[in-house]
Amino acid sequence: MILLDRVSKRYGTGSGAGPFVLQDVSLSLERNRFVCLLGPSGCGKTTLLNLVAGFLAPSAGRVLVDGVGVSGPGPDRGVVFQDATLFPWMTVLDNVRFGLRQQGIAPEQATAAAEECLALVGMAAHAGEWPVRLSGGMRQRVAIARILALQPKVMLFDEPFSALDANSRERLQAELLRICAARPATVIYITHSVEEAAFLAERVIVVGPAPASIHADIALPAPRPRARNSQECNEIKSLLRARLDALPCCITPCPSGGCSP
Amino acid sequence: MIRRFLAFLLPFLLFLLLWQVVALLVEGLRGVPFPTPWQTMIRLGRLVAGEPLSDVLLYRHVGDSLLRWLTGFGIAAAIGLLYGLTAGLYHRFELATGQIVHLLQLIPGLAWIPIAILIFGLGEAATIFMIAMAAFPAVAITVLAGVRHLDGTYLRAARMLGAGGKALFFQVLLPGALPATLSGLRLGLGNSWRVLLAAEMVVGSGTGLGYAIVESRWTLDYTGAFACLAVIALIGVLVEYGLFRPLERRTLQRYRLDGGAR
Repeated sequence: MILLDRVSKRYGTGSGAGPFVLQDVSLSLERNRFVCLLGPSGCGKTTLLNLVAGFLAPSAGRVLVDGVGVSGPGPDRGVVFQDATLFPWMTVLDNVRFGLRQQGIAPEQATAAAEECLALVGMAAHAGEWPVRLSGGMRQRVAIARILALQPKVMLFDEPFSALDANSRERLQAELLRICAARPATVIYITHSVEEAAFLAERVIVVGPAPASIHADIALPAPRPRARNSQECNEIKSLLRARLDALPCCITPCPSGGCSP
Repeated sequence: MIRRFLAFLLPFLLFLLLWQVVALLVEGLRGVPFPTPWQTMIRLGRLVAGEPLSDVLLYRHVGDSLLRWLTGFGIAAAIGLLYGLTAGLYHRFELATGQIVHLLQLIPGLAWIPIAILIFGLGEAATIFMIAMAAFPAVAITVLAGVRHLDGTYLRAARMLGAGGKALFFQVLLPGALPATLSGLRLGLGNSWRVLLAAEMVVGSGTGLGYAIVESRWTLDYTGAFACLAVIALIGVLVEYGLFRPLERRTLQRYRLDGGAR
């Protein structure tokens, strides 16, 4: 379980401190549930994710994962970034093995586990290739395999498919639901797309600009995957859209330090 | 194929033509002999065959220049790389020292002459010091910028995957900084090559291409000077096309992830 306890974040310290990006956020995310953070750009979604990932420390409050305070990034919380950030100097297989080898897992076992994860994301045939040879969608598949290999209890997705073409995006969304069913984990998925949230999420948290960081918290009905054009899915979309439209758009980006990594 | 070869040769031919025109103009208008491409080539051939230039063989000049260049550049590259990686990893170190490196970069290579002579006296050490000072900032700044860029991407991903300490440095930071390192080295190498020749002209090294060029002023051996210029250009072309272009192409082929199909 992930617990945010009155978390605030502003960049910079002392007199150079910027405005609050997140203010007084309290959230509790249940184990193995798929949560979408939905909101306009610049409202602090990525900051929130980076706090859970451990890339950032909160200015106030606590972030707990299974009751333990987050003190830095670690393999128990896998992150898939908007840009795949595969290491270009390693083959696809070595990219997936990298995390396993850091855990001290023997080379042969690491290879076997990496191959299994590549198969799970449909990339088994590309194990020996260099990342540069892959399309954007394939790179994100490998990026997912890379964290699956670590069997994380938390998986964090920062708009992973937003740079892909529409068709690849929809297919990867469906694949992601299949993967999450096979490998249950607590998922935080950031998106600014109503469509994406309506298709993927079990629960949608609409994030707005500070100080009202949590704008809405909506539990969605159970059976997934939902048919994209079903009555139900359309209703969810109009509901989310109404919530999102209540927020200002085009929020000024954060000052020095920036919101994005 | 032939067309491509001609297209490749065209700039060189144009350059030779321009040179020839200038030589004829200078000779006609000012009445002083200006070495033509042909005369320069003949002279270069004789020098290669063993005719001495400023009392020593051409090979000695070239060899001494290259040795000074590589020594000075090697020192600068090692320190610059180390600095760039350290400053990239430790932000406080960068804050404390970054401005110094940028300041060093603003000082033109030749301005180091009095400082070099005061510290080392006339001779080899002064020359090598000047070369190193010309190359260091370029390498340091470029590597640092490369590591900075890694910070938000590869290093972050590596930490998330559980990498720390040694693995982070050797498996992520070093290979990740390779493209920046290459372009830094290339910049530094160019800077130091230019300073090397100037330093040899001033610091009184007794040998070297720069020394030979400046000496030719006293002996009015301008064809000799031109032959040295040709050798300098040739070395530049060899390093650029024989070393850096292939190296960069190979790295970039693998590293250019942005801009590819997404």
